[in-house]
Formats: sequence, C-alpha cells, structure tokens
Amino acid sequence: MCILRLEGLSKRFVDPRSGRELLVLDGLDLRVERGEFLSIIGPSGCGKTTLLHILNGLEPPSAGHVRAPADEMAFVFQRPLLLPWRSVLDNVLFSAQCRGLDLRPARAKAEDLLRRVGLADVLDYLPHQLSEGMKQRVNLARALLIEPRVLLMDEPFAALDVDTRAAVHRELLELWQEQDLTVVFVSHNLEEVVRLSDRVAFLSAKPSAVQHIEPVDLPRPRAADAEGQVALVRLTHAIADRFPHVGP
Amino acid sequence: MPPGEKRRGQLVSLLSVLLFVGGWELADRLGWLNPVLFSSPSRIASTGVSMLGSGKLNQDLLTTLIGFLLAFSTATVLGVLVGIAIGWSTALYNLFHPYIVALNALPKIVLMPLVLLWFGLGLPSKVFLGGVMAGFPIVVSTHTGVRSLDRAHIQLARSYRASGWRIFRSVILPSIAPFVLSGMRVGINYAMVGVLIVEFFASGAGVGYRMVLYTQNFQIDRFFVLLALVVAFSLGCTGLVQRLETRFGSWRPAAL
Repeated sequence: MCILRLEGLSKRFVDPRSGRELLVLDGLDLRVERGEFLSIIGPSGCGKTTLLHILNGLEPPSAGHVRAPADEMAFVFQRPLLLPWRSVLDNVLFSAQCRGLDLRPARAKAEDLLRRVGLADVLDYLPHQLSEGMKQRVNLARALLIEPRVLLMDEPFAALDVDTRAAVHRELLELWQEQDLTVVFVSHNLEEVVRLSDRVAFLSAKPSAVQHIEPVDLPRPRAADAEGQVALVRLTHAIADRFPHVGP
Repeated sequence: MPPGEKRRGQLVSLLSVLLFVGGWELADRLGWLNPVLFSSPSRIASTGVSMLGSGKLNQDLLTTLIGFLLAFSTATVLGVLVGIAIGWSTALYNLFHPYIVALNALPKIVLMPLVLLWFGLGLPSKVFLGGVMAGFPIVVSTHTGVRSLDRAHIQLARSYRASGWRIFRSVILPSIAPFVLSGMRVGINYAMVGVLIVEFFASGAGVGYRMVLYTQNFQIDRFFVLLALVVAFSLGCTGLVQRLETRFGSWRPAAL
C-alpha cells in the first residue's frame, strides 16, 4: 500500500543574489510503500532537503501533486535542534507539546523511548552536556514520541563518528521494525543507505528527478557478522560503480 | 572559578568595604572632615533609624517608588514590544532604526526642559523621562535576543504543527528571556536616575526633592540617609533581576 506519492513535483526558487529563477526539482515522481525504509541519495545541492520539506508541508511545491499523511509525519532535521534551555526529557516532550497531546502518557512514553536509545541516565541533562550522538538520539526520540506513520530524516547522522553511527543505526532499525513506521531517509553516504534501506532512490544533479530506484536485497540484520559485512561492502561498491557521482 | 578562590575574593571585597567605612568614621572622629559637608557612618545610621522610625519619610518614599515602578514597567512593556517588532520585521527595523540610534546617542537628560514643558511637575514627567531612559537598554537587548534566535527551532516547531502561541511560549520567549532580563537589569538604574532627576528640579515631594532640600538646609546626615536608601533599593532590584537571569539564562554557554 502506497503511503506517500509524488507526481510531477517541481520546485523553483528565486536566487536572492542574482534574482534569477532556479529550478531545483524537475518533474519528480516517487511512491513510498507503507512500512518500507526508503532512502534518497544524490549529489550535494540536488534538492534532497527541499524534497523532504515539501513532503512535510514546510514548503509548497511549485507544481505537481503530493499525497502524504500531513499530520502523521515527523521530521528529523540534520542538526539535532535541541532547545538548549530544556532537559533531555523536556526536549523529547516538545513534539508532543507542539501537537497538543496529553503530556502525562507522553512523559511515560518519552522515558521509554529514551531508555531504548540508551539515555535513561541523562533525562535531566541539558543539551550542552551531551555528545553529538546523544543529541541525535534525543532528536530521534522526539520525532518518534508522536507515533508518526512516516519519519522523514534529513542526513541525521552525518556528523557522527563511525561507531556511534553504527549504534544509532541499530537503534533506529529496531524501532522501525517494531512499529508501523515508514522511513524516508536522505543521505549522501551510499554505504549508510545500503545498510539501512529496502530501496534507494537516486536523484540526478540539479534540476533533479528520480534517476533510478535500486532495491537492496540483503537479508536483515545486515552486517551482523563478517560475512554480512563483506556482502554489504560488496553491494555498496557494485552500486557505486554504476553511479559514480554518488560514491561509497 | 574554584570555590576557594571565590570565597577569598568575597573576603577581600568585604574587607575593603569595612576598611572604607571604618576609615571614614575614624576621619570624622579625628576631625579631619568638615561636618557641614560630610557625614559619618555612625551619624547616617542613627539619623536613618530616627527618620524611618518617625514615619515622616513614608510619603516621599512612596512617591518615588510609584514613579519608579510606573517608569520601569512602562519601559519594560514597550521596550520588549519594540525590541521584538524590530527584531522580527526588517521593514519595521528600517523604519525605526534611525530614531532609535539618534535617541540612543542622545544623553536623555537634555530632554529635561522639554519634558517639563510637555508634562509639567510631578508624576507624568517622571514616568516619561525614567521610562525613556530605561527603555533603550531594554529595546536594544531584546532586539539582540530576537536576532540571535535560531530560526531553525521555529521551523522545528512548525514541523510538529505547533500553534503560533506555542511557538512564542516555548521557543521565542525562553530564547530571548536572558536578553530581556539583562536589559531590564541595566534599565533599573536608568529609570531611577530619570525619576530622581525630575524630583530634583520639578517636584514638591519624593526622595529626589528631599535630597535637594536637605543639602540646601545643610542637613547632610539626612541627605546621606536617602543616598544609602537609593543605593540599597537599586542593589536589591538589580540583585533580584540577576537571580532571574541566572534562573532563565543558565543554559547559555556564555553563562557557564
């Protein structure tokens, strides 16, 4: 069942410096199935973030159709964007407050989510006391608190070191598999998207459209042992050979 | 700063004050100071006790307090509103900027004759001059606060479909609170100066009026009592706002 659908989506901006019109997305079509983990990858500056913003209704498209469960989506921004005056727990609760949800059950759920991502001991810490990895885990917990049907993620782990990234990947996949959740994940790291996704959509350079969709037919859990690691790396390189502008 | 070093610093400050007060008292007792021009700590204390005890000062204290509170609260409300408006909208900023810069550069005290012409003697003049003087630091620091707001936080709230009121309450207000409070802390002294100046020259009551009267009558002890009261009041108010700043601003990296 299709949960997100984009048809002929275009987006133009007026470049504030030159005053010229800039076509960022050009007739983009995409279908995302319910429950799948779909990644979008493409050269930097190709409009991946713009695409997510349009999906989430933060920006209107210039042309084309968007069908999305507007009020059942959560956005994980590239920066963790924690409110620096709020504790970890209160930062997670922020999403529920914005949605106007009842805070008492939300609090219990927030504590549970934070426990799941290994932050049970730092509920009352302030953001400046956290590492980047912890901040992104709070960011993730905040998005999942409102029980979204679709999670839109904009290169959320780009700033993390390799080990932290692998740990957060595991946590994300666990949470995704447990819930009825669809993930649209933007990245420019091919190895990362191959590790995570059911399908990978390749965008062309600006003005972008979907160039190709590659299914990832590796069994899960992936890269769980040495054999899995090798299979993952091999597939990543095989795909990279066909799409040299992305790179592994 | 390690606690031991802080303790030692406080001890030095306390010692300095004790030495100054003791030295002043000693100089007075030894007859080095002209008693018509200078008071002494012990005489200020005893005069203060009798002045406050008699209750004759109450009316003047109340007059000044009302002037200060009205001037300061008007400055706070208008200052915050203007600061938010010009911080939020570039158009409003461009519109108001020239006047704010010009008025900010002006020593507000030169407005005094005009203020008296417009508002006459008494409360309205105090509220105007004190309000204008206190308003500028509040406008400027609120504006800085709004400019330094991370707009991405607002986008985050919008992505969760937050209402405008929720965005104001949970994102904008906590972001700018430390800036507003530091503007208010500076504003306290300015409001007090504005009110006292008007009372010096154009009032029949109030602490400022009494200060002038006492010096003209060579009641220098009484003058110093009022001076001490003004200092104590300003210190109290500033300390209170400072505590609020710590409470609502401790998340700022600069405050750590």
